Amino acid sequence: MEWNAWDEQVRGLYAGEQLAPPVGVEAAVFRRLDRWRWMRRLAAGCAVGAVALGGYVAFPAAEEPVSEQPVAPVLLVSPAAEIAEPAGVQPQENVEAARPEATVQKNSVSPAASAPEVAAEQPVAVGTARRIEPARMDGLDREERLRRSDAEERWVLPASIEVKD
Amino acid sequence: MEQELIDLIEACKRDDRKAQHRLYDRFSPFLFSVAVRYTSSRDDAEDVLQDAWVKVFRHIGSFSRHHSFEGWLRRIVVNTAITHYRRNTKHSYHVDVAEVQVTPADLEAAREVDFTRDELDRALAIMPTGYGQVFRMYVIDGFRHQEIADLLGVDVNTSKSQLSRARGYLQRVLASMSRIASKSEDHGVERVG
Repeated sequence: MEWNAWDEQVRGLYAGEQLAPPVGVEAAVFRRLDRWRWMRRLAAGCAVGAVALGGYVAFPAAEEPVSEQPVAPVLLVSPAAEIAEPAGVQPQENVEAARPEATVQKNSVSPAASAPEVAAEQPVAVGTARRIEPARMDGLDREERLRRSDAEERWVLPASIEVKD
Repeated sequence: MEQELIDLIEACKRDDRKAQHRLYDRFSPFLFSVAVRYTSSRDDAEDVLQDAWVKVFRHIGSFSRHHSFEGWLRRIVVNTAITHYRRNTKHSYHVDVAEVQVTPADLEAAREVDFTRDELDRALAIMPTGYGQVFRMYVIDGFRHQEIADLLGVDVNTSKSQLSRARGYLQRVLASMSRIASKSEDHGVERVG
């Protein structure tokens, strides 16, 4: 007898063999599947949460170097620096601590903009009623200061002419 | 593959719970019989069956309809049983050192021995594990030597030599069983006479 024939004889003894498994096995299998599904959903939820948290943390961090370009020095260069400075510095700190969106909008103000423009636009950038309030006060002060500075100019220009003479 | 089975598999791929139960009902008796062959107790076979079904449902998405589904299931059960055996024995697969001294004349004589399923089961039960796994995989479940080598983590030649030794071992054990049986029959006849 060849090995193949002998193998066939052995295989024939096991062909079509079926044994009923114990009843509890099916329930155990599907219980484990349920647990696995739950773990898979939990893992997916954790992954989405981690991505969202990572994005939230990374976004302000990426904007921080940009926000380091201060608006306040621009205000100091302008003739109306004394007026705009309190309104420029104070909201900037609040905005950085409060919301990244506000920082972006604030930084969008070009350095070339004049001080009155900056002083008038910054409260709008803050976007909250609390921060708009000091800006309005500053706006009123600016008008008064401008009026005063206009008056000073009238006195200063004749004085310089006198020096030249 | 029949259309009904294809539909059932596709439903299982969509995580359809009813289809999964139907698939379990249809193939569990077959898979349990495979698990029993590769384990030493029914408790172990139950554990293997459980693990195997969880694997089946987790990975059924990777099954291609161009292959035999029954063969795919059988492979998962055998693989799970081997993993289970390794985990329980706390050692990796190794070639059993129990050498079987069988002469060609013994083998020739033994090949002609007739045997029953029960005798074969008893012979397989006392066979060294390494021989037994290769023999079951190759002769009973129709694996190829390359597949056996991959599953057991051994060389193809090791698989072939293990099979050869397993056959010799079985032949010898079956021959001795046959001799014992014939002797007891003779005694029975003497007593009757």
